[in-house]
Amino acid sequence: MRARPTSPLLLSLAMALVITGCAQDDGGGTSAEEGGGEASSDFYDGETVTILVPAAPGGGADATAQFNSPYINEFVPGNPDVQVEHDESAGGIGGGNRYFNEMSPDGYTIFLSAFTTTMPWLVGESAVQYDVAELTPIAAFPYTGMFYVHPDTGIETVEDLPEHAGELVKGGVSPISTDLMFVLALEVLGVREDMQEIWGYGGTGDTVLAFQQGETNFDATTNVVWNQNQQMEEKGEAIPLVAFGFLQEDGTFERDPLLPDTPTVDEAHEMIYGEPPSGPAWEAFQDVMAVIHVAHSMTMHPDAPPDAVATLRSGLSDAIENSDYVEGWQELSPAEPIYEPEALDQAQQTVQDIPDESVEWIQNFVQENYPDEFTQ
Amino acid sequence: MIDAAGEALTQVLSLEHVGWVLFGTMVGLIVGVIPGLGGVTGMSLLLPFIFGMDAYSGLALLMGMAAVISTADTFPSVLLGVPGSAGAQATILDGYPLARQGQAERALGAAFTSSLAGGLIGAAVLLATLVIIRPLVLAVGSPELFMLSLLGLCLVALLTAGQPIPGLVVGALGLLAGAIGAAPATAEYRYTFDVLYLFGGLSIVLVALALFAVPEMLDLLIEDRPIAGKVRLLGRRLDGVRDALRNKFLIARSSVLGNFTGVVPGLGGAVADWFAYGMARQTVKGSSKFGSGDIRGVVAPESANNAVTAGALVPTLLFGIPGSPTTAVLLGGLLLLGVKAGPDMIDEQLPLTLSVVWTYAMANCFGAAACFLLTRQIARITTVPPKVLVPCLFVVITYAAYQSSHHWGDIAVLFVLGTAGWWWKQVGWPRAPFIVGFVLAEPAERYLHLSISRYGMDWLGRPGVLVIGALIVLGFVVELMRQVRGRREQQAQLTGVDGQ
Repeated sequence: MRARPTSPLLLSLAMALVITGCAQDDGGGTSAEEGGGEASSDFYDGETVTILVPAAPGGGADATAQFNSPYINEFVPGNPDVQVEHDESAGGIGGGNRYFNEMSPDGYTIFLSAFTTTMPWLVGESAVQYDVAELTPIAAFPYTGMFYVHPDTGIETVEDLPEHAGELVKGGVSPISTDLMFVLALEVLGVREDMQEIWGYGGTGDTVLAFQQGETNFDATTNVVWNQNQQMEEKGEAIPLVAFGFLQEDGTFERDPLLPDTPTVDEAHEMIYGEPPSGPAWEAFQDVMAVIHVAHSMTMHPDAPPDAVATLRSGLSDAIENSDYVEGWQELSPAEPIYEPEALDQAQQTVQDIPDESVEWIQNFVQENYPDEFTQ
Repeated sequence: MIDAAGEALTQVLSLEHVGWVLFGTMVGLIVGVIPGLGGVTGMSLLLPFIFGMDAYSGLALLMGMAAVISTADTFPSVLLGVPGSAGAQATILDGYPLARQGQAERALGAAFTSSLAGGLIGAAVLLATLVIIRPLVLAVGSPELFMLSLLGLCLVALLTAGQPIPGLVVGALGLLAGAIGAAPATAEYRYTFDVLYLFGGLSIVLVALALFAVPEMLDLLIEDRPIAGKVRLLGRRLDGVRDALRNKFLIARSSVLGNFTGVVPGLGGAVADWFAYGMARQTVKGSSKFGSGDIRGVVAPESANNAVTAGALVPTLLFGIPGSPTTAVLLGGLLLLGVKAGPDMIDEQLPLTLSVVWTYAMANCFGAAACFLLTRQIARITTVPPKVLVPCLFVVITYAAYQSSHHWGDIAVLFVLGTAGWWWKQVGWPRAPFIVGFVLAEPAERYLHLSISRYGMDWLGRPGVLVIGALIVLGFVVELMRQVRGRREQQAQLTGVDGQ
């Protein structure tokens, strides 16, 4: 019944031991290692691992889960079968609540922590019954955002944006979800209030569809989703306007290598207004962009067996170091996955380190502008 | 397209895939032969087992089963005069008289041949539809999708049992059940009563099992008689095959009619065989023997009911709006497999969609071959006493139910909804609208919300919305006229009796 590739189990076991051994020597301090977990080929032998995605199929979170599935099967000791399950209820919060409170923390379900669950948690949405800071990361996938627009709007470059903002219709999931970075960027660019925003789509994949159907003429999405739909640009159906790029340690943004000719948000601001952005919205935007390193990651329940975490981590680092994994991933998003325990801890830390003033400002911002989409 | 077809074909021809199709076909044959069990029951029995399967294998299993139901359900229709499933009612009109005239084998031969042809034509038309429908798919926005959901629900409610009011009530209950748990777009929880189990909503697996497997099992057990008496197979099968071949144009017409009936959400399933039967009676020469054993009265509905599922796949796969109760459960299965129904199915997921078409054709061949070669053995299934059959199935159902989340709540939901389903079955209320309403609750709400936020009230004036709205009204008018006519006939009969 199960299709299990035959791989030398002993070898992978040995490798796993070596790798976790190394990790422990490095003195990372994650809960898994504190719990003394050990990678073992027994744990997942003949089992099925489910990746729970708190978003609809077809978006960036789904793409990440789908991309990792075959590697988990091939490289995680025991070669578990992998299935991807989606729960986009309540814009993703439903999936997070279910993972944290209803599913057994037996180590057989991976939670794909995404913007759809991290952002509502960050802004203190009252329906959230999970704690992102408690999740144990297994691997994180940095991604970023971008805007594109239909040529029929008359917009050719980002400089035309303010002039035509009143005619723009944008689809989104929820302003306290993936879209938080988008609404903040639009606020920074001073066009948010003029646009018509429609909330309630199932995921970033669905808003692309709405764009293609002509229901919207402006779309904000992740670089992962854009890379899968690039043919829209070739067919002349979409013009990329802004690509958020990646935040550097010095606080500047580096352009997205896959969209090298498209300006970042600060560059766009300069093109429109002749000066770099500043003010609380810009600071909030920067803080939100800082957490993208962990906002999109494969995680384990805090009560999951430490062996499960250790086994998955060893399998993934094995895959990333010893296969075509990175090349394949970079076709989706140019930033390399984070998988070393130390780096994961650091990334996890950034979520908790967001300044309180920033969180407060964001909370007030969504409460004022999106009272229907946010319950505190 | 050709590349994708090739990719799909290599997937489909792998040993594993053929194995799943064969297994699905086998289940479909058994479920189809047992009177009262149809595609929805088969689908709900298989659904719990596709957890963890890859999309190709899972769909092979489900489609293998669904494709042959309407081949196998001919056995009880012809031999016993009871429908094997909802789609085989029209076959009885001429099939049963033929069997009583000692021509059962002839009727079955004709039925299997036309079933096979109907299935293959259905698959071909489905393929063609997928090619040409592309531009249409992108023309359909949230308002049209909302209206399609409404159309599907209304037609199922109106048509499945000829009882529109109970149908609509059950459909509305299905919508409510589908609303349990988190709202689609905003962070609100509904009907959860602070019970943690309900926060995630009800599982389609449980709802399907409870409504379409439990009541059937209970009734089989309560009646406690062999499903059929002695089955007599008389006549010559090859005569039937010849009959079918002689009527190849009738087969083609009926298949295409069945296919297009299936495309309209909610219409398919229960009415395609009647449409085809009616068309045959009106269009063929010398139709006076219809109803007393005309082989063409078997050929027409049997070709149509095998094509109808292929048609129902179009709205199911492309818009996520199920065309029939069976495809409503199939849609739940797609979600379990991580496949999102939508325009992607003819884009990135095209190989998967084409594998469904191949599987459909393949399963029809397997099913027809099995019916021809194993006629006696399959016919004997109708004589298995329920005392043997039901306990086995009940264990499977309960295990399957518990499998979906390993929570005691699963058993409770199975019990509560199973009881409701059994009760509805006793009082003759339709159950299909519930499952369709349940599946459509989320998309319908989402699309309505999106339509209003995007277009205000203007969405009501869009041409697509008006056309689909007119279809819904038409459905109600036709049903009303049927009711009035029925009442008048009854009255006429009564006055006739009084006058004597």
